[in-house]
Amino acid sequence: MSDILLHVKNLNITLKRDTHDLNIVSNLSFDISRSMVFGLVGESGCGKSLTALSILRLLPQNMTLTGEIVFDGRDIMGLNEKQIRAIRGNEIGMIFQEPMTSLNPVLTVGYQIAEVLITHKGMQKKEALDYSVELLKAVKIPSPELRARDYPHQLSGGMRQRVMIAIAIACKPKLLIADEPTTALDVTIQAQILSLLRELREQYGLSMLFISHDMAVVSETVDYAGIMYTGRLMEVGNVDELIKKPLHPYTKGLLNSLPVKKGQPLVPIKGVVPPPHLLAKGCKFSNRCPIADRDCEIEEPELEEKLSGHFVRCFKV
Amino acid sequence: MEILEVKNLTRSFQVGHGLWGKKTIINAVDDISFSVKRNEVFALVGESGSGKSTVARLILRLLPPTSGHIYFNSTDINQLKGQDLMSYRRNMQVVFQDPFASLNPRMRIIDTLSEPLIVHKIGNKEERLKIIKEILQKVGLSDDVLNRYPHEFSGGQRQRICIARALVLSPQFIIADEPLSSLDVSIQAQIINLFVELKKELNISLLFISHDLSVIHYISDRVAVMYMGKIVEMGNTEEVYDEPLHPYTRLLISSAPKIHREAPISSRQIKESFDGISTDGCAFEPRCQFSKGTCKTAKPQHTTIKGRQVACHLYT
Repeated sequence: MSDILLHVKNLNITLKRDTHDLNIVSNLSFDISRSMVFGLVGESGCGKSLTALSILRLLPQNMTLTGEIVFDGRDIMGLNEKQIRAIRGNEIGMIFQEPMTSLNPVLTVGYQIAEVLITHKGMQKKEALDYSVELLKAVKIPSPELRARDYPHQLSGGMRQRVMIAIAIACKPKLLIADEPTTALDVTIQAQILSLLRELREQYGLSMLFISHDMAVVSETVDYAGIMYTGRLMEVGNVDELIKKPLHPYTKGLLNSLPVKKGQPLVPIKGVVPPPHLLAKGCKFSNRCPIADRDCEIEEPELEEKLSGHFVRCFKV
Repeated sequence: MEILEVKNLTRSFQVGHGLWGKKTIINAVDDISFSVKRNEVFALVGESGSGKSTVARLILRLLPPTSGHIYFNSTDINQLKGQDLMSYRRNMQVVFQDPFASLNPRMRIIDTLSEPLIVHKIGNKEERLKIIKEILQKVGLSDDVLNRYPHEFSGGQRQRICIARALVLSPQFIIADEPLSSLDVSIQAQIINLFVELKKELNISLLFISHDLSVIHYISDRVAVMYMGKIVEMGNTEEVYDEPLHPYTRLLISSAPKIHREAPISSRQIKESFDGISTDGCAFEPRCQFSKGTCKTAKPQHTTIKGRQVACHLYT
């Protein structure tokens, strides 16, 4: 058994347009080893969510995907529809940002959990419904027997997200993809959900791909993180190292934008994220970078290992 | 010197109806009092549904209060009529959360920014243009934005336009209701810096509403923490963050993810939430780890401790 659970190499996502194709995610490579939590961080539109969807081959039809995705020794790109469906929700679970829109409003939450078990584990309905109560207990929903009979609208946002987690872990997946799982929640509820995810991870030895725009949330949740900008990884490394000693000017910019201490002036990144058809020719960050020079505008740097296990895409490091 | 004074303000809404259903009255804002001084940044912090935005709408006179009073420069705003009301509206401006929804997509920026001046009959065309250009410079936009439409701008630029619109009438007071939450981190920092500069330069007071604790800590002078329509703790921001007294404030501050924290907080510190709200006692009682007998039966009153107001039975 290889130590690497998910291997992504040179992932490219292209949006088909009438006039020209747009490259949304470009040459993305990362590995997630067993029982490791990998975080993808970036601002809106940088391609984090599409990366997550592409691992489950759930991209919209107008996008094409190339590259290598190997999950647990199997080539995801080569699977047919039936084979990939056996993986979705079974070996790879997924939690989305908005728990209200991802749950079916006309089915009880107990049934929605049971459905996964009936589909993937071949359980009988009765057995699956009983087991769904166990799962609700595992995600710490009080009085699970009663809540299993509730409909999503009867539950609060935090409770719904717990139900989503229960569905995602129902089949004991090897990998859990969590796409901004706490963004729609209040801080106190966010803290509860994050600590639940941490406990489940210890309990089940889950590997996780954790996607967020919030550096603080990421710093408390993941082991390794990749900083994404305009569909590219700019810096990858151990999360403590990234936060204590960031090397890429974009990572530094993100950290300097956070209000930490009163009176200490914030240093925002100048300008805005360019739309995908107006990217700079060389380094995609060069037009906002405080240390860019002419070289940066001509050629795009590669993601290189600058320190042991710490990869940076920058000429100036 | 207080510019805004809110006294025993309550606003209730009727919820839950249906053919034979019982009508329930909930107090979205429940007997709150606070005041904002000149050139001060006062923050309201709380989770969704705590009543922060209702307070903003009451102060803007977009909603009438059920009871209580709001004084602006010592006059009750709900008694204002005619010219006085116009002058109040001029001095009390607002910046909303979503800059995409709060700009008219069919108006050029120059029309959006002129409209308040026209309504308040300020200046002729040239003078208005002069005022607008000055304000644009203050918010960090160039003159060439004037003939463009909102869809041509990014979120951060639109929020600058919204701030410019609030500033053209040179108000004494601005309410900013979650002005950062729809923006990316790097853009957030730009807008925070802008608010800090404007406060220094223009001598305005700011009521800053947010759920983001680190932003509140950074920007505000004094803070009021709201929970279910009530202010549970109020005081100097620095002191509240250094030593939160109310159990809810403690929970809130410890729940906020921090980038340089030694260890994540354990789940045992967080008590599970319940849907039940005790009507007689403290609203936070079901989630409070220090809850005792009186908490279920009596509503806590505000007491002053260490120069701060706290509503909790631990301190009475």
